[in-house]
Amino acid sequence: MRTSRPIVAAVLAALALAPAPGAAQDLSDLAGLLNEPVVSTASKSAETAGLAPATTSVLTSDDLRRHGITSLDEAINFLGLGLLTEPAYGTVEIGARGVLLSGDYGTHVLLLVDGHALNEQWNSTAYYDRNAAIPFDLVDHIEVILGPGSVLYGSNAMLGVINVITKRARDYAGVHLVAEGGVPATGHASIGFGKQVEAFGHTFELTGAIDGYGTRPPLEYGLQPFDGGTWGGDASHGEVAVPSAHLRLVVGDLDIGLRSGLAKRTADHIYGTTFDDPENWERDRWLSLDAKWSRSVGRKLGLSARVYGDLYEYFFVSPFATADDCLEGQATCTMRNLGSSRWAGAEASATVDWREDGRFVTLVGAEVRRSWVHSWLDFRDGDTGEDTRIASYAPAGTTVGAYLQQTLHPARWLSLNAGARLDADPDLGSHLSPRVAAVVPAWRGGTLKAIYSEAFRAPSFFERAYSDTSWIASPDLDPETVRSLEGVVEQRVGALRLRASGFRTGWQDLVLLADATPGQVAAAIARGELAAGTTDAYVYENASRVNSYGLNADLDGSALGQRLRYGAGVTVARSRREGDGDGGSERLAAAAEVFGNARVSWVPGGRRPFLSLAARFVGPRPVSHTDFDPTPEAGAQVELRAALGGSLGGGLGYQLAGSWSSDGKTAYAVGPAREALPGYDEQALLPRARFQLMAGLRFDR
Amino acid sequence: MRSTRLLKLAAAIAFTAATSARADDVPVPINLQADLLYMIVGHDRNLAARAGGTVHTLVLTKSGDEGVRASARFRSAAAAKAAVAGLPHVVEVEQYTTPAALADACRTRHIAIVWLSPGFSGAEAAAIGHALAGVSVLTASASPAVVHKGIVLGFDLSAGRTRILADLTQAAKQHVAFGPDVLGLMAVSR
Repeated sequence: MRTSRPIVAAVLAALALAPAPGAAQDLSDLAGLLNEPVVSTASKSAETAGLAPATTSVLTSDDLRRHGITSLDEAINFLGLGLLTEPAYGTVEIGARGVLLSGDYGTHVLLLVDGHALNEQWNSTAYYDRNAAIPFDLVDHIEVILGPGSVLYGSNAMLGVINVITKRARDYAGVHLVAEGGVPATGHASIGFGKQVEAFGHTFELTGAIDGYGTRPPLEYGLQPFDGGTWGGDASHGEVAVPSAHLRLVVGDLDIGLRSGLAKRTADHIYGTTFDDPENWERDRWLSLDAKWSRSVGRKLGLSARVYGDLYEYFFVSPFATADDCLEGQATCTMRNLGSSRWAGAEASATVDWREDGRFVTLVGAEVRRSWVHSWLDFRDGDTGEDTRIASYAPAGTTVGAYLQQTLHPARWLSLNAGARLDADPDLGSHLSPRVAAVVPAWRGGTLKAIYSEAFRAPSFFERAYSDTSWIASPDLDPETVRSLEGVVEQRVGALRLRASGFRTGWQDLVLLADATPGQVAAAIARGELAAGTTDAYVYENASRVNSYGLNADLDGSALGQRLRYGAGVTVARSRREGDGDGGSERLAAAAEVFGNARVSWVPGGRRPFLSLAARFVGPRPVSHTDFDPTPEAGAQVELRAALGGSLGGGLGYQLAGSWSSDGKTAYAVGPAREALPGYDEQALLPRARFQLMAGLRFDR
Repeated sequence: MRSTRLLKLAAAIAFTAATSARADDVPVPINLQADLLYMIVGHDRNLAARAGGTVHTLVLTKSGDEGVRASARFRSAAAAKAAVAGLPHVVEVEQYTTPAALADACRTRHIAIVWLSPGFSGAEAAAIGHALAGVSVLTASASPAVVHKGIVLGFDLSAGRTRILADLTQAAKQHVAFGPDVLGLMAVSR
């Protein structure tokens, strides 16, 4: 206490003695304020990113278009801070600040579209590339919250929260057509519209888009021995097809969103005993509805309510050409896996502005969600066509969450935010996720921020309920948890914003697939879950921990009347996993500990073309899904992209975008051989396209 | 038959909810609006002459919960600006009655800036713009929807960043003259 008073006094004195700004400085500050993102995800209320109780980045539609970016992973990698994606099996995996949990199906990040969670309820899966099935032309901006966010959003918000905000009708008025294609064989088309009308004394806004994307890149897979022959070579059947649609109606403060999507992709790299087989594929389908309403009641009180419902289905087909991969008695077979979930929920919240000036505001809310899941796994005999189902389950559950957040602005130089959310589930118990943040605009243009936050991920229905002939169900899994401590310093110098942060996170009870102990196997046999005589089985356990610390830094700004925009970001982290059986600590598979990006764009205005350049760097990381010892390492990688576009007049525009990667391999093992074999001493890695060139036209009227 | 009834009920609820909501919205945080506004007014060449020694801001409220709430927040943020463009600053709050009364208040009390709370309709904004033609005063609105209907300045959010909207035709009518540098940072209509 004694030491804090002189510091506060010194800060106050510095503020008082700060020179009055001149006109040029004032103009520069004005440009800086206009450059400051306005976010609403971190605290569920609009505020500048600098005052938000989290490290927040905003990826704007302007930047997306300037850089020719049309998917979430490209946006995260080239424009974001702290998050990255790694191209994996048919989709990408996502990590943040040195932590990427390979094989997690995106469950450690909460993905929202206009506040509606896309993580489904069977296995909490979310996609962060084209497979997310988000019509990208409709995206206004993307808010990225780094670090735990369960305080307001509940489960899954461990690495961060990504909120994709779609355009309002006033920003998307008219009809918008996009058609583009390129090499490797890729096509994309989109039809969008926005209309705002005044009727019955109210404003009606309608926006929507239908989007179709497809790609069929020829890729070369490294050869590897398999079943007396070889696996790999040139693949020509790799394919991704993603149609999606989004409709949004806003009437006053009633905001209704309807979304549907389908993502189908070949999957012979996952269980690839047949190579380049177009009959080996997986598919996701979604349908969701979300209706929000809010309004002020009196001078102090704001109310909001939300109801939502979702349908999701995952289907996977994999033909196996050898008896070893099939059930006993089957010479060849086709494995089929269905995972579907339905969920519906309601959320209500109230905001109380006690002093009516925004300085002392309480947010209280509650959410209830009911989920139903259905899943099965079967093997169809290649000769008889007979199906044998080895796993089937259909659980349901209800979760209830309640949250409280208090914001306090006692002075212009101090902003406090404290809150907690309690989530309860009859099967999982309850979990409390607190957050405390202090923001101190300590000097002219400078801000200090300190954040402590916790988050959790409830084990999915799949992790708790799945069992088969060699897999024991794990109904007693505990939630995974993470604690994070973060310090941020931010400085605005005119239109340039600089930010640096240090963080430390501790992850506990991470769910890991482990070999069942003899005792667990015996108990499962006694319960009738495993057949008598079974000796080996798998089981999910809360077995792993991760400790991580590091630094983030970024800058962004504009010059020349905002025609020139630039930015860069870098993350350096050290992350180690413990508790997965060998007693030591090890790096996380596919998790880069150094990565970053830089970008610059020039938009001269009028009909003159815009230009942009962006680069991305990813450091070396251990290969995932391999049993080679020692674990091989995927090398550092640089990706470059350039875009050029402009107007042709009459509402017609054009765009060219190209990208190049220094490496044609990912950090993921591929094929049936995952360990050293005679004549096979280097792990084959999943290939990726090194070059891409896209050309497109758009029409806005 | 039952599903038809349910649909009708849902439509009725939706329409009731919609019609009871405010017709306007405030995309940019009020504090940020205040910061931006008082930076901008320093670039109005006629501010000093209009202010006559003290900058008077009039916070014009409209009946309605949202307007009152936003007004309180703006007043608090504006009152923290002890000086504007080097001149002493005073903030007053008043409920809107008629365009003529507003114009009269601006003339007689040397109001330099009028900030309109949410809730003003396009027709009211047009009437205010008409009444203030020839009166030296800068009008700004919490809501972007009324800027091109008779209000000089407004604040909108586009792609996650704030955009200042300015109607230069109305600005000229109200003797507001921004310098070219600051106009380069605005979305201007003439």
